[in-house]
Amino acid sequence: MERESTEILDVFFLNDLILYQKAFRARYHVRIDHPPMYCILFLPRKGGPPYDATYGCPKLESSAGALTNFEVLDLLRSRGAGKDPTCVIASVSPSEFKVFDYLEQTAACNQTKEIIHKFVDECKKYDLAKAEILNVVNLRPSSAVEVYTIIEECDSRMEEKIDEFVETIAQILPPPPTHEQPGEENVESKEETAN
Amino acid sequence: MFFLSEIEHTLRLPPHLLNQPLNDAIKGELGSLFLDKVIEKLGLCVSVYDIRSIKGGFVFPGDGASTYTVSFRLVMFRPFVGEVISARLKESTKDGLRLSLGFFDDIYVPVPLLASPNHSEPDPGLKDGVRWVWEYDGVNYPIDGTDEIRFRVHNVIYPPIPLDQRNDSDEKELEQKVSKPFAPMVVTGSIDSDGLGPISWWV
Repeated sequence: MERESTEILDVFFLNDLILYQKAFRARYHVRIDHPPMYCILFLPRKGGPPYDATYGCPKLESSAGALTNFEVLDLLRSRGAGKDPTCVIASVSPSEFKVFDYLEQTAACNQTKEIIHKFVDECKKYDLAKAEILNVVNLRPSSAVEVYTIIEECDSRMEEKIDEFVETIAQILPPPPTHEQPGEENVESKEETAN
Repeated sequence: MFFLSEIEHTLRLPPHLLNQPLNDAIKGELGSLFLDKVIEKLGLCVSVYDIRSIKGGFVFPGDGASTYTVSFRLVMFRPFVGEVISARLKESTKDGLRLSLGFFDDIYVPVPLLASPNHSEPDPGLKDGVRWVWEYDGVNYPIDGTDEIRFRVHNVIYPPIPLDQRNDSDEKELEQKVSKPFAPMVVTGSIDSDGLGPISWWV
């Protein structure tokens, strides 16, 4: 940090020795400084380093890529989120744990990379948008109704291929974890008949 | 739902971390700075993905800490418009529903975006609560908190931070402000379509 030779840092708590040291460093452009022994607040002149909490504003690149739920789950698992139930040793913070708990309940907990690659390959013949494939992988719809919500203008684009698409989903993507409700059990039996 | 965002930030590393390996110290510092915070237009930060580059390391005069320019990637929770997400019911009032994802609670479904036609009936179980019921083909389908609710994201807004305007004479307003803490990111959802709403309706 270059400083003009005539500038001296303003000092709140006046102490002759410190004042002399500051003047000396300013005059001779000493760059690296040791923190002073006395508790002093410094107010540098303009051109000095800003002393606010956020040092400069962060520069942004809005989206370097969308992630599926599975990828985030994999990342948290690789940090040890699933292994320790009391989350004491793992290097995962409590808020990351909440995300992990949420993702474990969705269909992402049974997926693997190969399954997702295979599914994306199969989807190429249906001409779907990237966002729609992402939605399908995250939600794993098990019936035609659910596919209607995800894919826009399903009737005109897919026509009769909807049932075939639902079949493909049921075969490639594993079902979400079973809950204690009879609704989910119906899904399980449908999955078996489809297989 | 999750995006990877690349950010460059000037980070001040406090001196008490100087004995740790640089990468770990910077990662920890970034975590405490960004984790669980909302960045406008990027979303809620869930986790630090990796560190791309670390430059700098200057020590400014009068300061004991070193300052680095770090370029890194964060996993952001940012639902896009049109995405379908399943969440749990948190509360149900006369203005609509409020849904929660566990790590994110500010998902509102206002009355115009509920499944129509519908009517509301007061729910004795909840305080000031109202239960919403969808009428379809003569059968009533209530929305209660037993199973997951699927909704489509209608829009995502980042309201600006409110300035502290406390008017002591108006006590009612004060109570209202205290009961509803400021939400930096609000997701509005809609249930007004086939396949949306509680899963038990469609299975």
